[in-house]
Amino acid sequence: MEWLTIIYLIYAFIGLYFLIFFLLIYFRNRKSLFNYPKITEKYEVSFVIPVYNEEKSIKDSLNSLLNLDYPIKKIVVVNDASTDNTEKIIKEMVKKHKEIKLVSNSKNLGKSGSLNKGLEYVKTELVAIVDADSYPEKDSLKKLIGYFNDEKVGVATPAIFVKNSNKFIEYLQAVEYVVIAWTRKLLGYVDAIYVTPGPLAVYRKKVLDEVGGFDINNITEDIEMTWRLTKYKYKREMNLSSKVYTTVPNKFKHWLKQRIRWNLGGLQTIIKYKSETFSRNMISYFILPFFTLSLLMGVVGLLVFFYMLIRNIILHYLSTSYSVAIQSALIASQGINMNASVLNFLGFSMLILGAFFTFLALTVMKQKKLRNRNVFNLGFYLIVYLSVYPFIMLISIYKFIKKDIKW
Amino acid sequence: MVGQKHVFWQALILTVIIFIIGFSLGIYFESSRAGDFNELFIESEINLLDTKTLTDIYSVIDLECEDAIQKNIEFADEIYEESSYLDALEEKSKFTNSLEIAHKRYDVLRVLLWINTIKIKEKCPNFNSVVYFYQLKDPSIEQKAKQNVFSQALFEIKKERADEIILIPIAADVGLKSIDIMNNRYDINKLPSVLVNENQKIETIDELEEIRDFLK
Repeated sequence: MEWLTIIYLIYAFIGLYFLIFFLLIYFRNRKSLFNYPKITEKYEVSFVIPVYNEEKSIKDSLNSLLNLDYPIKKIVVVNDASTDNTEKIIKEMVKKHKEIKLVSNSKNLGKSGSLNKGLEYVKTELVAIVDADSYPEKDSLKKLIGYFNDEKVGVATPAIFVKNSNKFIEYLQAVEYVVIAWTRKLLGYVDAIYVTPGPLAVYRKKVLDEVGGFDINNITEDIEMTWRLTKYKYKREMNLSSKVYTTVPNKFKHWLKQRIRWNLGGLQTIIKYKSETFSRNMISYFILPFFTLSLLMGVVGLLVFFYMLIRNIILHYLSTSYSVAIQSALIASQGINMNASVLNFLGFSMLILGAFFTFLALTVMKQKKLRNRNVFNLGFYLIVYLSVYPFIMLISIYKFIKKDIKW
Repeated sequence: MVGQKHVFWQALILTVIIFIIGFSLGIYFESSRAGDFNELFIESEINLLDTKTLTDIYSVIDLECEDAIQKNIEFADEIYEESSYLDALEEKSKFTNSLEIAHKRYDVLRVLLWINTIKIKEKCPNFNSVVYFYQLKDPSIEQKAKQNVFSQALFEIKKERADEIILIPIAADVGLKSIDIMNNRYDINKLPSVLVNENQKIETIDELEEIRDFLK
């Protein structure tokens, strides 16, 4: 058997494993997917919002917090030396709402630094972290509080949905966010949630203090914090009934920049927690292998792709130049081999299974609007959009090696 | 929740089972393709025996060159098409080597055809035999590109003079003794190579242009 066939089979095996893994969890828990624990104890909650040049979204974001149907003790807005009108807008909001407190950084501290600074002003049992371009639904916070009845719960997070999904690139991200939310919930059943994302995450304040606050050196502080809570054996919970809407990049270059940042942060986190490889917790059992495997599969897949591409280019170049030399018909005029190999069937089957999985996610998550858009869109998401990831991974690795790590 | 952690190995077992079933189906699929070729091969084998017998008959009774040559050319064309299809399928065969065996059988058949052609030529020299030797197993990119051009050029020449040329492509590296002996006999050391009428050897792209000059 050729080495390329072996690689192909390994990829298919791993893909099939995760598909079955998620489906098994789903079918066992499908009736409880949207359930969440009732509030039996009242907790005081404060919010921390780090902001940097968010003049377009901060007002709406703060209003969505003020409209929540769970009492909020304080909203600490940390202005990280914005250069636009963000501070002015916040000051106007502060005048109208006594819950809002503005903290201004004299110099840019980055997101983690701003979060840590904001945490200094929080005295409540729970603290919710929100991005300035995110908009929690009215009952989203209330639906997360019940999880904290369990003392071992360190963080609870809602499902994140895309606010703006009209443009094609936004639609693709909207589908992606739905699949991520669904699979994250499924991972929650096996204690394997590996990120509690920035748009909204409610932490137990004393746990954040115990683990030492956010890592200022990591550019994806949410991933790093989730791994740290896992290391300290705190549970990470997710509620699909609690919803937050977030603004996603609507231009390719912004999207690319965001994804590179996510990958760089992921790499930073893998390196930071490599010593956990043999510890007996979910980092070593699932999270670290899962991240590392994703990384390896992306890179190896891309190297194989380039190998085949370059080989074919050289072959066509040589064939053409030899043909020209003897003034023979170009090789391109020869018939194309249309016979399908078993691997073609395997690839097609994997594509169908991937489409089924995505379709199921959109159905379970009641996203009819996204699901019922034409088949081409979903096909593009599966074949093109997801195929871009290995390229982003490679760029990220290059930047990581060059130590070009910035927000 | 702790009970749900069994899902990690349960998913693994299910994946292994599905994978084994899929793998077995793949092998079955490829083997059934090879089975189709067995039937074709038996037909071709009968045709060759017929052609050989015809040649033997003509060696006893008066030889009708036109008939013998035509029969050989027709048969060569037939197995050329079959083995081109076989080559295409073999390229797509990933799990088993069942088509490799079919390929060897066709190579033996083509050597037999070549020998028969040499035999006919002794009495009927007015036609051309073009034997194309190529590398089947792991050719380098350069070799593959050359082979593409060689086979395309020979295909064009064959199209131009269909009734005058017997084109016999032979994979020279399949480890068959009969092929090795013929290689040694005609000093075929480089692949790809073309042997025209058992006396002119072409080993380079540049020499390919001269092939028409060597034909009768």
